[in-house]
Amino acid sequence: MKIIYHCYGGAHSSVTAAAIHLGLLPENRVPTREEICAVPLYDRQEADEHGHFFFMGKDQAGHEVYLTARRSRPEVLENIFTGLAGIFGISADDYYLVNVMGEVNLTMKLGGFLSRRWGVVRVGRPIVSMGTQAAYFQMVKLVQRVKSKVGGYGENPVFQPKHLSAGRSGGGDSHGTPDGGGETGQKFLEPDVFEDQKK
Amino acid sequence: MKIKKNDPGKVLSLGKDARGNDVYALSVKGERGMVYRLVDSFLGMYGIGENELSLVDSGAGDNFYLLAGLFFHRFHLLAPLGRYLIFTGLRKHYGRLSQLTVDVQSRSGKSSLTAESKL
Repeated sequence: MKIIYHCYGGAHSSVTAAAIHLGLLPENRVPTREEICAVPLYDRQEADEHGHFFFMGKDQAGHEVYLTARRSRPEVLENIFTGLAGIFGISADDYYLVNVMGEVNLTMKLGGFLSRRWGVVRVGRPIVSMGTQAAYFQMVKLVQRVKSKVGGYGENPVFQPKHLSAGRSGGGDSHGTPDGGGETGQKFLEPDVFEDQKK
Repeated sequence: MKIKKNDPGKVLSLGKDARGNDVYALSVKGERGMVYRLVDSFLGMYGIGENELSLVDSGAGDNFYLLAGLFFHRFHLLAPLGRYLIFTGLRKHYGRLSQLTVDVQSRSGKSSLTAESKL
């Protein structure tokens, strides 16, 4: 199944949710700003990339996790996706669109606006990462809801201790993150997330 | 054909052309670039060949009458004026539209699907 997280600019909330989903960010604590900013694609996407599906990785259940930006038109994304899936005979069980905008707070909006729209990254990025920290557990809950809905995560889809244990790579981990989890046990994807990016 | 408030982006089937291509209409509601990227990316994500779908922007050459008609059509009392302007605009635009369809048909001989996007 393809799980697609979408938000306005595809730079903060959807990236964070996808990173939580893939275990790149912890579920039991709020990550530091450095950890958040180190997530691939966090505060990176530009306006001319909106609409493109970025592949973030595969989760431990084998689901492919994507993210995209759809500006203020979630209905356009949903209608087009559903319509094209219908035309090409893709089952509705094969994809799951997740709107992350419900978890976005004002701080994130302000920081995101400064960083992405106005290009004041130095000011905007700390603000948006602070907002991300404030909204973090709401996003964790959203990801947990998504995981429990799509299934395939074993007995306890919500709590995954293997991502939280220090310096270990989970045995059943299928998203292929590079080794060397570091002291926090967090693992980050290499920029192969761009493999699906339009040239 | 009436497009409701939540319909932008909905892919509407219009039927088959003489060559058996399926023809669809798609309202993009001012998000042309994003819609193109969405469709392109969707095809790439599912490994669908580019020949399978041809996206044609039929609204690129919209004239003043059409745009004014679309604007007036939003307001209940001015809807008749909007309709009149839309018909006038379509009449003026008709030659270009028919040329566009001829070009598309000549290009898409082998493709199985054609979606026409319209603002």
